[in-house]
Amino acid sequence: MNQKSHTRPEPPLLEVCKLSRSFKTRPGWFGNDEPGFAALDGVSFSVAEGEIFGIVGESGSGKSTLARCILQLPRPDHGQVRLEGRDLSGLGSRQLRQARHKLQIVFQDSGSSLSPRRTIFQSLAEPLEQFEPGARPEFPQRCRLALEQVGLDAELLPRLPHQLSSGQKQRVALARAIIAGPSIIVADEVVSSLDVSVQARMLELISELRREKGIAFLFISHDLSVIAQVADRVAVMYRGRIVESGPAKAVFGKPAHPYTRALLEAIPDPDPDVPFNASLAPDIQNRQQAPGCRFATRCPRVFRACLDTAPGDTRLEDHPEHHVECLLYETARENSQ
Amino acid sequence: MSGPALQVSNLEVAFRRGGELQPVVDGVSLELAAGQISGLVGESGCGKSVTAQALMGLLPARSALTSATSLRINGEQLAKASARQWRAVRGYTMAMIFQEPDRALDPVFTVGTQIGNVIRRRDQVGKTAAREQSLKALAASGFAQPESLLEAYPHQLSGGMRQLIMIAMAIAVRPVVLIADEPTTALDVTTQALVLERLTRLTRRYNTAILLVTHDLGVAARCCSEVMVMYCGRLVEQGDYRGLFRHARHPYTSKLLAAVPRVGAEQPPRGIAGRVPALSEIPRGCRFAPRCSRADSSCRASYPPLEALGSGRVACHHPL
Repeated sequence: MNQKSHTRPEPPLLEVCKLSRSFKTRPGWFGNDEPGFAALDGVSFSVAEGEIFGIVGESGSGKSTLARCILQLPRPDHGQVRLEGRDLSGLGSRQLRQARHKLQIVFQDSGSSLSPRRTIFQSLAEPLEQFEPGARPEFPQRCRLALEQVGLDAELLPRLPHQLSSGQKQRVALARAIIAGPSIIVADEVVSSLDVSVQARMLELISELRREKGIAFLFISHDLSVIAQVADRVAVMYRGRIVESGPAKAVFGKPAHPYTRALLEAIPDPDPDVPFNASLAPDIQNRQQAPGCRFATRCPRVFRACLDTAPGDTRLEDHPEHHVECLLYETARENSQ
Repeated sequence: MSGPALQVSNLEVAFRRGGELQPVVDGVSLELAAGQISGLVGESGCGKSVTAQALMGLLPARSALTSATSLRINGEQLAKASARQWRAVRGYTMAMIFQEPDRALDPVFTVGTQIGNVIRRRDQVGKTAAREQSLKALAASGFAQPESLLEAYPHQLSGGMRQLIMIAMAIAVRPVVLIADEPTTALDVTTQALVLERLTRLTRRYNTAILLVTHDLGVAARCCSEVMVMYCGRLVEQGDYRGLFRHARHPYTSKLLAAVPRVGAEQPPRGIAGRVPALSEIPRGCRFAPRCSRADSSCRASYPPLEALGSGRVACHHPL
């Protein structure tokens, strides 16, 4: 947690710059395409070495598209992804494969990312075949070590995925990500399908891998309480944009954007005496895009300007790195100046 | 009506696996009071969903052996009911909603047709009346423009909308007992809040008894008056939620509560060491003993019965 105090290394480990990606909502006649739905619309942030950066948002906010675009699967329409200063969008497929050595991804459902016919050993050795084909005699040892690092027994190596529990499979997926020695892992909803008892241990493991191996994580989740546990800094996404970002303590302790506040209030806490305010209507049945703020149609604090003025980035006073995209703060700032 | 909306004694379910019987639910007895939401909580694999399906008479006899000394729904004894008797219960006095509404909605029919069918079957009314009631049910489940939904197919809707449509169907049925199996697990927090609010409203308006199966204690905290904690096919603790949260008696309940991640909590969540034993390797004594720090030889020798303690009941030789 003390990564934040020292100055940011130059350049940052992962730098995402104005990333955009849209998908066609429906194929047009004779290539006469509609403009499409912007899943990502100018997303920028950076992740420092050994940092856990959390991305949080509801389903449909573009979190998973972001994860995939960072790995260039699919490639973004606009914007850059720089890993250790190197622009990934310009790389050919072979160079990209080499770059993924340093950049790994773990998905929510490891049951479907592990081949059902391959033993755990075969699955774990795959990245090694790819990146270090010369080191084959060391493979068994390396795989055993990787399993131990994620808290699993080496006995699992000859097993098939269906013989493992979902928590074990998720750990195997993590072991496969760390085996190549990445500097950053994109973790897309990796604990969402796990029981709380298993989830807590998975979160401990992620913090431990960061602490002991210095691996950075881009940790994506819809669950704010999970993000609050592990992340150093967080970004809150809404319909393809980052609407608030900053150190986790600042964002969760003093949420600025009405959306972040509403999300935090709608988390059901196990303590029945913690207030629960589910006043924000869920995002059902309206997809129309206003020219102004994307959140305007749901926002409890909307005013007229929100409907036609897109909010810009505003830096908040409580912390120099706490940013928000909301007209409430822009106007407050203008008034005070 | 007097007495509980649903009452079951000694529910047992065993799966047939290659000529052998593997017990999944072992002697569960519970009651659901009208107008209340009761929670059934526990980790995956503990038998919550199987219990829910057994209560709806949904487990196929060729793969599961289900028995209970008594299963009364709205006063009617269904412990040895035939398939025909069950058909007269499901969709009338009882309804169920699932974690994945896609499985319950038919992809080739519009939402309007599907809700309409439920209403026409229940109330023996014509298409026009059914349409009107469908609109009412959709509005009651939280849709601002229900007309536009009637012509929609399930794939055109988001997961949250589909779940609300399931709730609209339940509202249309006005069941005495509603079983909701992880109804909010795949939903965003805002949609989840709406679903929970609508379920609570259903209990107030129609005096429906709801069994809410969930792994999320936060969800239980928001709407359940009473909760039952299940572990490895048995109920280990039962009581009013607030009391249970303040003072969990069973070590498993206490550990489960400590594992929940919470925003702003001083302590990080703590996982539970070990795992739920597989069906083939269930220990002889207390099933939680291998993972319990308080376990001693008595725990390994015999299973503690579910006994009254304080305001609730607990199955533990050494309660907290």
